[in-house]
Amino acid sequence: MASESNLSGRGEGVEGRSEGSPASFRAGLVSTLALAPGVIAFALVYGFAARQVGLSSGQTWLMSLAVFAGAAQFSALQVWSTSGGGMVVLVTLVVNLRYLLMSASIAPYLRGLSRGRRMLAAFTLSDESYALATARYAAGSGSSAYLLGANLGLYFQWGMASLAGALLGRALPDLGPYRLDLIFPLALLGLLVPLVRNRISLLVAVVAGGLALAGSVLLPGKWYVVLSGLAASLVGVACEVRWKHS
Amino acid sequence: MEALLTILAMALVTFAIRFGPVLLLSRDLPPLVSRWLHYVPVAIFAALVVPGLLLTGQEAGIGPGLCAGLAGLFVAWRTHNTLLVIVVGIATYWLFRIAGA
Repeated sequence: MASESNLSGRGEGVEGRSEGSPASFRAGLVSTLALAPGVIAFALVYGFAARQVGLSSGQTWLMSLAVFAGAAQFSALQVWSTSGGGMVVLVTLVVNLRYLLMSASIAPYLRGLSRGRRMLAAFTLSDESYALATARYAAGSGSSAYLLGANLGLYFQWGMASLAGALLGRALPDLGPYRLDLIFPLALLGLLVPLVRNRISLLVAVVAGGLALAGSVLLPGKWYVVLSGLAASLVGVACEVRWKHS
Repeated sequence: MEALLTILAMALVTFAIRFGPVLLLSRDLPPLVSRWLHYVPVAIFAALVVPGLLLTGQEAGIGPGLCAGLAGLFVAWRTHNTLLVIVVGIATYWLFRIAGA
């Protein structure tokens, strides 16, 4: 029996540290097929849009293979043309902070693996494969082989479709005047809305949006993204603590 | 060259975040840290989305961007389909831009 592991990062009492078999690896791979249409379409849009901000096809593909984080890649591209590399990396860092939660929550399941396997599992971890694997662990049939299978299935889909999107972007003429840069905020809006599940997260989103608007006028460069994001997320924690204890 | 270095640095920080807890953590994240991390995506996405829709390419004012955002918000809320959000958002932008011109 594996204990339930959820986003609160609790992994105590884990007995299901099974490494699994080639069959569970294949099961992990196969489970990602259901997600393929969404992942592939999103990666095609990413590849296409990355070309529009001036990345080469090779750079576009490399970003997908080396970073492998869709939300962060879209976020980085939104600030790409107006910021230096340091700011792009900082935005990537903040968008990806949530992986600390996922990584902490799967850490107990990976303890039996070799250093190399653990690095591979961490490098290819994604929101989707995390969800698939922790559902399996919760049901008592999880294994690190299943997680690796799901990770690698999604990595393959994301990598191949990003390349296809980049090549598509190269084949088309310059679409700059058509405001396709709106792809970035709209894609992030699509990721944001499902995360707004209660009053506090709604408040956090509104505060972040408001602070960002004010900050974009008052602060230099794109500092408003990082600072308003951090400030609003702390407002969320403060509200939670306050409302829980009142 | 700078683009390449930026991409590699992005990869490095992302890997550090994903592997750090697996490598180092022998116990749970402190509850407050864990709660805070829950709110970071909502906050950072909102901080990118709102100015991104309202303030970029202001030659047409904020009207079309605002309409695109509201249409996208509605589609995202009803369908959770990001591709549809992008398509409807950009179509709405141009609809209002052309109608307003």
